[in-house]
Amino acid sequence: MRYLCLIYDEEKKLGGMSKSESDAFMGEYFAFTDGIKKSGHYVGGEALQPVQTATTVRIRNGKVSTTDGPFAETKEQLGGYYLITARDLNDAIQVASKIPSARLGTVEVRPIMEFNQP
Amino acid sequence: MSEDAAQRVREMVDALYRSDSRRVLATLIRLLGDFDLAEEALHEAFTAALERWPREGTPANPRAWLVSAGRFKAIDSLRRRARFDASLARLAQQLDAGPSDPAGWDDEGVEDDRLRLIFTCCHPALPPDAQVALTLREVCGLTTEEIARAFLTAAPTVAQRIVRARAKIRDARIPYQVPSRADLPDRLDTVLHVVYLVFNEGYSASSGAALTRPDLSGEGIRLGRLLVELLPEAEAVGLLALMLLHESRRAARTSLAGELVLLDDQDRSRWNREQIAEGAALVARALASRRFGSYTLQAAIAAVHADAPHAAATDWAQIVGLYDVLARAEPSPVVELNRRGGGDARWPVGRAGPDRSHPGARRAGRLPPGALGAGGSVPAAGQNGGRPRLLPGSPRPDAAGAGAAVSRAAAARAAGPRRRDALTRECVATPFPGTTMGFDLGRSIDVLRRTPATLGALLEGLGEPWVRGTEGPGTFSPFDVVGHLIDGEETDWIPRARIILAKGPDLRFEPYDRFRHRARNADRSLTSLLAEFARLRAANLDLLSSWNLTARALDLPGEHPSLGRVTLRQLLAAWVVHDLGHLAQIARAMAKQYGNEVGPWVPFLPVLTDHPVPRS
Repeated sequence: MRYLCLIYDEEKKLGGMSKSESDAFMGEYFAFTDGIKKSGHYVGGEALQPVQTATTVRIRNGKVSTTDGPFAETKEQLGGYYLITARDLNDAIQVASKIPSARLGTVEVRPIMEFNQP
Repeated sequence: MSEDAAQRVREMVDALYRSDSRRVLATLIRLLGDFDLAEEALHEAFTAALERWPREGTPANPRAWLVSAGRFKAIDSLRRRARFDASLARLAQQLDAGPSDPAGWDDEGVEDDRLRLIFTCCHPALPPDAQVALTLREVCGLTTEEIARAFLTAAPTVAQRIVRARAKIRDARIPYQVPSRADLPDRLDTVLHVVYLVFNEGYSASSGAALTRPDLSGEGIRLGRLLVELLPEAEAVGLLALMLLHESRRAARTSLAGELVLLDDQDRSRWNREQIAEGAALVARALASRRFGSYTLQAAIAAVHADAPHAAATDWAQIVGLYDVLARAEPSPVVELNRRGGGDARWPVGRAGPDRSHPGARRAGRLPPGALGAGGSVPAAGQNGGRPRLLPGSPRPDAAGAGAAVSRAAAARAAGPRRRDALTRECVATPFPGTTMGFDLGRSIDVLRRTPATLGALLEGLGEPWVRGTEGPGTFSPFDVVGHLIDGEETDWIPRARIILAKGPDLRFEPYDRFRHRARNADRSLTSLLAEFARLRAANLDLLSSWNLTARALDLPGEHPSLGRVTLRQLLAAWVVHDLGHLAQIARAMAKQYGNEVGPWVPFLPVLTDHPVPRS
């Protein structure tokens, strides 16, 4: 079964890291990604640019409205994701708990909806 | 077959349903991989037994027969429905290919299934209220209506919780497993917490006319027994002991008029000696295992109380010793409060309860030698990984005072957002007696303007221990409070008022970052912070005055990120109260620096105990 691990970080916290701290943090991410590739959990994953680069688009009264930033105001922002395949939720939680940001921010684990193909 | 024989079979099937339906269900869930399907199969199996046993005779192993029949009925029903849904056909095929020999399902396997069922119902990925409802439904076999009645909730609400939980188990694929050794301590914590919630809801009913609801306490104890039977971990044993020892006092706990009777005033001849004996034996067993934790310690405390023929004969030294160990195992203000006996009418005036200086307070008393490990530390303390887990309920559930209120509020916090919302609503709905002053801008500014001077007079020139002392980890020191007030000036009150007055399309406030000051002021002196605050406050109040706000302007709305719609008037009133609250907080944090020095005066100094769970 596939699960999406949505990674929420406090960008302020990440921005406040020194060069060596942030290098070490990135190193952990590389090691983690390698690890789940080897274990067969990895399906995909990307990091996102900071939330200042985000644009929110919606259509209201038939008109496209484009605004700066994300819709919800929160302390933590979506910073990246992994798509994994796991035996069950416990297995997925195991993987998610090793994502380096789980220590600093939050990881949300969501099962992928599988639609029956006709 | 005679009518009599048929009647006998009916009675036997009824009895079997009461004694074994949960076991059969637990196995069917494993075989069928789905709660709904298993429940349906369970009922089909019992219906089939009623039909066939009178004709064919009772099988040698009725439980295995029921499992087998249930599984067969489920596959059959899936096949019938498969005409409309191709995926069901595949499922039926998979199930059919699985093991079918009921003799292979030995009793040990069945016991494992019951444990699987408990751990799945109490999976931490399910919301706490759903864990409780699902456990009562699936493990105890209570109906939705019974659960709703017990918790004074509407039946559809309970039904929805159960439906959602079952759907999450299926859709997120929560496995039907007993957790691995490594995960067991944490997962067992969740299970024990659910069991204790069930018991406590019955023992100190949080709502409803009666103070106790024996049915739920009974279910809690039944669950506790089942758990001890299936998984005899020390804390499971300790929890069962705790529940039995509390339960032993039930009859003495309420007066004829239905009011709560405090422990000291209870008629101890009405305590249930059988339950006390069983509880005490279980406490000894849990302590002997050396892997015990807070439930066992609380049970040990209850056992010491149970041992005293009358209140004055209580072995307080032993109780203080146990609270000391408990406080080290799970540092919690509630434990500390109970240990000192503050904020509660338990200890009569003039005998202010045991305190740290009590001779023999550190003595481990009648615990088995060495049970507390080296230096009196609790071997199980590491089990919670230093996580400040809430004590489930007050360690002294007979205290009707602050302790119980605190634990109830804490339980509401632990119960998640739904209960918390209810608590917030309750707070908003509570009128404050004796407050008749309406909002007045000038009178607000009067208070706001003198806060910098008040802070200066209170803090300027005091030494570091006063200025930097906190109320515990994660709480503010006076220095932090000043930093937080500066943050308010820069990011909160006036910026939010501006958003309201701009009357723009977006009325939403920025969230108030309550910890912005931590990094910002790391190297600052208190003097420079006080000066900065005074400067910012003066400028902001000048600005506020210059707006010449009318009554109509005060009614303008803004959108708080979590509270929703608020008016400018409410924002400004909150600013005043926020100042006063933090002045009180500074006084409290300072007072607590001497909390251990005042000795027996603790009960007369409510500043030390009124906020046992301070937040920054």
